[in-house]
Amino acid sequence: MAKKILPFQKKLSFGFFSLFFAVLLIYVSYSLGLNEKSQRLLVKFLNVPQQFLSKVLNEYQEFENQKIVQLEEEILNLQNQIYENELKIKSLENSQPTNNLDFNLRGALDTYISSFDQINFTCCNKHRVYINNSNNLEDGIYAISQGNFALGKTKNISRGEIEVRLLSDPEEYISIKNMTGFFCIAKGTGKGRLISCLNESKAASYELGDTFFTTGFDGIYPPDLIVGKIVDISASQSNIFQQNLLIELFFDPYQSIYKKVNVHE
Amino acid sequence: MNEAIRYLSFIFLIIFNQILLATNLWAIFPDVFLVHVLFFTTFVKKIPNIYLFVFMGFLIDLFFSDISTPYTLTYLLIGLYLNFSSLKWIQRSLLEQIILMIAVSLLLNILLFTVNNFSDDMSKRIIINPLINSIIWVLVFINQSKKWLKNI
Repeated sequence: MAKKILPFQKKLSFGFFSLFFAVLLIYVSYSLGLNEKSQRLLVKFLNVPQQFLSKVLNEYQEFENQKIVQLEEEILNLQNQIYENELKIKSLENSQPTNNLDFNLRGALDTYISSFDQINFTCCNKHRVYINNSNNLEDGIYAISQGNFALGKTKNISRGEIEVRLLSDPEEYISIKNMTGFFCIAKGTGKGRLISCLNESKAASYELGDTFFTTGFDGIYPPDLIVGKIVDISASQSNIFQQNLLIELFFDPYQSIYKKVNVHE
Repeated sequence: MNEAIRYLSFIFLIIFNQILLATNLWAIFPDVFLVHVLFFTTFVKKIPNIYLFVFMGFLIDLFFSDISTPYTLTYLLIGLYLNFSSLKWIQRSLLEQIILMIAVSLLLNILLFTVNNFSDDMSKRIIINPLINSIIWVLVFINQSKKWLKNI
């Protein structure tokens, strides 16, 4: 398999002509601007499959995005369902034996919590949530509940939104009772989800963990909405016969955004 | 058949090289045309004549260079070397092959960067490319040297 060796003269002529050929090609391409033209041609040629590929990829991405949106919607719906079911469970756990749960919601209008003033809730004595005024309510004071749980009452009503003062707001009062017949007027403490009331009826008994309901005496809240349960009982400093009851509300504003609420006319 | 494969693979490599350039991988990839020449001079018995080498180099320059010099001149040198040398490429020692590979790659890249205006990111190719090209050749050599020894 020895390689054929060319004579020197042939090598020389080959070398010379090949160099001449190369120089000629370089000159022709330079003078006619062939490089630029062929580069543009290549880009154009590759542009077609590139556009096709990017179109296919975009369509695939769009399809995937749609699927993601659908799944997110499903997740949100399921979360809402879970939340509402949890409310129902809590409501059943805390209901009075004679209480018809659906009765409280009869005639109530449905709307949604649009925002929660978290900063003022944490720092200051201003406990507010805002709900959509989808029913175009006009001036007046309405009780707001989430299912069977009392939430607060309306403060300012504008065309699109209603400001709701939560029960825990220090300016908010509510008439409540427990199952043993103990009644009191509870006042917001301005601290978290707590309200407090003083015992005024020595005849009735109460204990830690007792659930409280609305009495309906105030004419704003319908009777038998669930309010909260006693978490602390302490002696009053001004009167040794009085006790201060600390009641934790069932309604949690942190979990309430975009959830359904009821407006009681 | 070999001729057909040579031209088809050449067209495919032009497209592939354009993709490499578009994706900035060109700087860290071996020079596909040099590797192509290497494969054909190694695995095909008959070496094409010098004019074909020059013309192929010219075609590459048309698509990838502003002036048709780097590949045309490099291919001219490769063609001259392969056609005029008394020994076949695979009969040379590995060290000689590596030195030649590095020298040719270095020359090609210097010419490419002189004639064209590449971005700064690409300049690392001048160093990387000769090394990668020679590594590729070493891998081919290690795989094929036993077969070559049988056939020589």
